[in-house]
Amino acid sequence: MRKFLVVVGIIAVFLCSGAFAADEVRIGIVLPISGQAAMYGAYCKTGIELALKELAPDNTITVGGKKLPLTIIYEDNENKPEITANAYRKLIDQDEVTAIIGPESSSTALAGAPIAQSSGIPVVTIFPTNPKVTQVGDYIFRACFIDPFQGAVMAKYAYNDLKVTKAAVLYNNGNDFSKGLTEFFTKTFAELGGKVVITEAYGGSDIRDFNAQFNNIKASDAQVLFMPNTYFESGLQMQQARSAGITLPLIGGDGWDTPDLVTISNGSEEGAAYSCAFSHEATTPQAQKFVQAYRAAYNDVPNSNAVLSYESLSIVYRAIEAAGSLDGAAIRDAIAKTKLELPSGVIEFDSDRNPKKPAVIVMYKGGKTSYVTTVNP
Amino acid sequence: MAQTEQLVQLLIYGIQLGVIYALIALGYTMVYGIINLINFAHGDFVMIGAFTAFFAVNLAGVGFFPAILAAMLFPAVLSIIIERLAYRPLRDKPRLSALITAIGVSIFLENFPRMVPFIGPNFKRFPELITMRHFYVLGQASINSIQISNIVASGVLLALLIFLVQYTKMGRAMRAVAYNKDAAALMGINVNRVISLTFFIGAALAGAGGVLYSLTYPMIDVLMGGWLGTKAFIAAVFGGIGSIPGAVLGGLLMGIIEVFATAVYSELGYGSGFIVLIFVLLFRPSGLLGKAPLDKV
Amino acid sequence: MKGIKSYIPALGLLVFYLVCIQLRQAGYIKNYWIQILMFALINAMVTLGLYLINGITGQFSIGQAGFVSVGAYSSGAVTTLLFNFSSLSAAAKPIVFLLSIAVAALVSGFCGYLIGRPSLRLKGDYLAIVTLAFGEILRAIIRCIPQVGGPRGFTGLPRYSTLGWIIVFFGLTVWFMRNYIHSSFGRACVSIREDELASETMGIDTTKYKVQAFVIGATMAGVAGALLAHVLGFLHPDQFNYARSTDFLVYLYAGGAGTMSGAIVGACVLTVLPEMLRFLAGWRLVIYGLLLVLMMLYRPTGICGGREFPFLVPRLKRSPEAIGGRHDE
Repeated sequence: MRKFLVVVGIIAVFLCSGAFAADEVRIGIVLPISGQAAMYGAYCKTGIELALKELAPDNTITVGGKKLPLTIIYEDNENKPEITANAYRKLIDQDEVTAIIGPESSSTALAGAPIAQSSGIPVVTIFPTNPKVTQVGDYIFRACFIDPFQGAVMAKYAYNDLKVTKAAVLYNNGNDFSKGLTEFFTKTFAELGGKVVITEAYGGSDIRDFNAQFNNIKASDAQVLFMPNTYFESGLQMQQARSAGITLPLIGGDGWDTPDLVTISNGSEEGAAYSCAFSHEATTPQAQKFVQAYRAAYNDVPNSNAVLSYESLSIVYRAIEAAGSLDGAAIRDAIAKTKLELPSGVIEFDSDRNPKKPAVIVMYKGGKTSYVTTVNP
Repeated sequence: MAQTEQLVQLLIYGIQLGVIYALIALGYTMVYGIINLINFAHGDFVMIGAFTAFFAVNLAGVGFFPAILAAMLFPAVLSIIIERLAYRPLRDKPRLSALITAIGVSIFLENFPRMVPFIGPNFKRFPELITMRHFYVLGQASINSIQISNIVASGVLLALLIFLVQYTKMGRAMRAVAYNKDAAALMGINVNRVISLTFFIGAALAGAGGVLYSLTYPMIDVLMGGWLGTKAFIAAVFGGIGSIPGAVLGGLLMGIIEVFATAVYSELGYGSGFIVLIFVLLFRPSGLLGKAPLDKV
Repeated sequence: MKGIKSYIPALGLLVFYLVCIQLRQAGYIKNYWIQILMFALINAMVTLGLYLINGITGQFSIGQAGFVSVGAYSSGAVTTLLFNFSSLSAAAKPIVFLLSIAVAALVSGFCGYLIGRPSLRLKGDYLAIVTLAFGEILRAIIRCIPQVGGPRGFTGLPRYSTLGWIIVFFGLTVWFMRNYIHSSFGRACVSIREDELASETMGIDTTKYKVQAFVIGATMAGVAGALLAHVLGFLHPDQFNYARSTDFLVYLYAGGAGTMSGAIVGACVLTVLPEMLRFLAGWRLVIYGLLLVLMMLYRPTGICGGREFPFLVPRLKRSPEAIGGRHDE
């Protein structure tokens, strides 16, 4: 009986631990802090922290003329749907947050979004590219591109700029982002008059051996190889492709957009091109300011995760100020009306709550990315 | 490429993958043979081995042989400590309690290094210890220096292992303990020491496997051992768990089947290895080289 | 230890439900905890199914997540693809929902048969590998079915499972398991666990009981999967990978594989524990791993240590040790 009481006591303490002071603005951030995607979480955190340092160095936010303390609450989702649902619930019910930023992937965003929608809490998701995420409801926004747009951008780049008509694809059929890009690339490339002559798949991020797939691709008559995969998979793939004697030009999506790719591909990325939201060579004052601040803080070039999470927090912060209240619907409307000059351009949302912004194509040259062209939606 | 060249090339890829599975599978099979424990944390010693070599090369600037030696020693010593702390106290308890501590150890080993600042969650590039060169064996089909060194190194380690198990006193003691722990103890064999030694050898092989794997696929991270370990475990069972030749055969076949299945239909390449496995087990319920368990009445 | 009348635990569950609902309405319990409770009970149902296969019949299945995925996806297919759930009338919703659960039970039960039938020739770890492989094959197949979203995930499922539904199905599962284990079927399963050859000699159709255990265990996992699908409103094939199967294994053995109480308590405690460790941020899983090791070292027989809650023992039966006791080969 005594043990039982102790257990009940512990649970009671945990249940009550959610009590907070009333006059405070809390923003919840859901990121993969542990688990297989933890490095993305770490990058997102750098962007969030930088935005916070610029917007609210004293950790306050002005709402309706009143200066209120601002608290950022990070929650880990391990990049798993169920854990994300729990993290959302905790933030909404226990921490009573005003808005949520994150998570970082589509499969987790789709598990969390319905909860926020039904609770009337506005959400800006960072990097879920599946169009279905914002279709959950009018409280759900995103900071990144959607798959159809990016797939089409790369198909146009291959057909119009590289002037090729036969493409090969290597994609991860366990990854939603990879699958989505492959689908829309194939569709647009065919509409333009090209043809995907060979599509090879592999079954997850744990796979390190792509030799069998490259063997088939090598035997095909493709003129370009599209690899819409994450940076570490692609880094290894580039190397194996070159080692297997494949000399085709390589193209990919914004999964490649991180300086870490080069550390793995080790030179084999030379000439590979990909689309992303932001080039650190961009000349707009906002972009330059951001790149310099990022370099000063982390001694590195910001990647897509850092840029998008920086923009997510900026959007939410400005929207709360503009709404002038902590009411979910008011903030939602303020986010929808966002018109902010941010590193990747002037951000506005379309009626599906996706940001309207152009894609840039950049290419690896000598271990660094260099700007090639801009493609408008 | 002609048909035969294609086949030879795929076979080379399959063997390259298979020898690594085999090295890791050996550790599973040896530990299982002695104490009937599926050491779920075994795959993580692959990761620890790879990181040991990574730091040995990057910080101390050593070459291939010292690196692989360090990568065998450190996980081996660590595994003895873990066996002493987490598995030995449970040896006389229900068999599956130790399985749960093994899972706990695995969760710990995968997540602790991530929190250590100089390791962290990021992928790291494994240094190039062997210069890449291609040799053409048949027409367009080629084999490279890393593949050759993988096959040679695994062959040498396997020969050493067989010598140790078959022709030394310690090896005889290991076989005796595997056969009957109590009888072996009565014969004056220090059972605890034999078990420690088994863990030592198993983890050393996993560490070596980690280095060879990272040489071939030069990218390491804290979670690399999880899936690789599961694959190797499947290979060990496939070959007949508890049997050393079985683990080698199982590993090789797993690698080859995986590569060929992927080449034929890559969308299901990943699942097809499992389908073959199920069919093999239906016809040989104790794996390829495993002994059918005797039912005592 | 004597059992108690069977309506008392049912009443207990009802009271528990009412208390939860009242406390939630009064604002003492947040939806957050209700949701964790829902996940805990769903996990407990899956673990109970695993208990029947591993704990009672002495087989070694490590692919339980595969059965959960079959249940989740097939019920989701019924509510979302076959019927347009949100457009149904309020009266039709529970019927379609129950229908989807029935379909989930049937399909996953059939999968249990598929896997149980050939596995009769396999023992111990060979069986384990086949169950693991089966789960992974299922995952590979689901990825190739575009109708349920493939690798992009199955979206738009109605979030219809409530705590009430889950408690009802949890109660039914427990009630069924209790009666099954203490029936002649259950005793036959226990005898297979203790000594397969001897029980065959005694005239027990070991084939039948082993397959039966697999079918029932898979059915429970399938029903739990159906409920899970309609809590989350979203499914992804990677939710049901081998690591998830390992979770259920941990729930069972950490709780104590010898008793139903162990399965239930293990699943509940280990579902809640990671949530309680949230304040540790990145150290969460490190500490979780350590706690798991320490727990097994200090309590190798699991949290419940082979003891059974009195209400899980039917009346007029002898001590539960006949069922618990040795849960090892």
